[in-house]
Amino acid sequence: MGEAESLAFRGRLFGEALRNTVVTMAGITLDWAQEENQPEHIFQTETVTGMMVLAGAYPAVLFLSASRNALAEMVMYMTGIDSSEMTDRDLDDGIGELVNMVAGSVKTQLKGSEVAFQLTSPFVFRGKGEVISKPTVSGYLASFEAAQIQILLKIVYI
Amino acid sequence: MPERGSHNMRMMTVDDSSVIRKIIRSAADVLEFELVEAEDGFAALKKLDDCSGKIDLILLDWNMPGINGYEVLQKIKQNPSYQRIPVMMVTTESHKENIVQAIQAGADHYMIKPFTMEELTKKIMECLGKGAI
Repeated sequence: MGEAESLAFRGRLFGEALRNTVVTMAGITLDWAQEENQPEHIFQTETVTGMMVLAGAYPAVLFLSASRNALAEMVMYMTGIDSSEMTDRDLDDGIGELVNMVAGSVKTQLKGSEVAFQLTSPFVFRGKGEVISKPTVSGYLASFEAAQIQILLKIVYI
Repeated sequence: MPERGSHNMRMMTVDDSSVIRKIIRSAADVLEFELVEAEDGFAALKKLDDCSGKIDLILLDWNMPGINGYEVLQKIKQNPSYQRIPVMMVTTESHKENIVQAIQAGADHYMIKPFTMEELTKKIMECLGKGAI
């Protein structure tokens, strides 16, 4: 398997883990919308982003990013909290828990393989147009949609 | 309303994620259980002391800041006052080694995130020896 195929294979593991997590926890079926290796995109503006560092032979950072409204809807379906009553803390914990479950699922699948990894705790930031700058960076991006919800998954190898 | 002995069922959730605690609160509401919430291991051990261990079931996350869930589990199961309390690990740690490790430390049940509300309530009832609801 070449490097590009390997990146795509691992990316799809994370993508399917995301779809499984969201349908299980929120009852929302996400459709694959876009997939790209070596993306040059920056994230959309006005996003909430959950992150985890994947430490292993291929160290990387996993990002899940969604608009505030999209995330509020997902967290509403997960918890039963009305989206109008949702606090920033609820949203932070929601995206943090999603990224934690997605990374945890793939970690188990890859345990014992040459691409196995350990995880940090999830962390979250909010803001516009964050850019990751590193000359040798490689990565994977996929977007998912369901009705008004769009969520971006990005893996940046560091 | 489910009861054990002379008091209503009381469950404790130990998870640093408020979202998971809210999901477990929804399950507790469905089951008409009281719920004690702790956002980390230290708070859990203090709340156990505060209520003299009068808890029927503990749902325990594994990865938490400070003292992790595995260490909390060991402390609970090594304490004669609390070791009778059933503990269900609720975690993303789904590898067989983790499950065996938790069971060897005294965990009674193991639930892997993500889960549906139906799976959660069913598992809670199983932990309490009440079978499916």
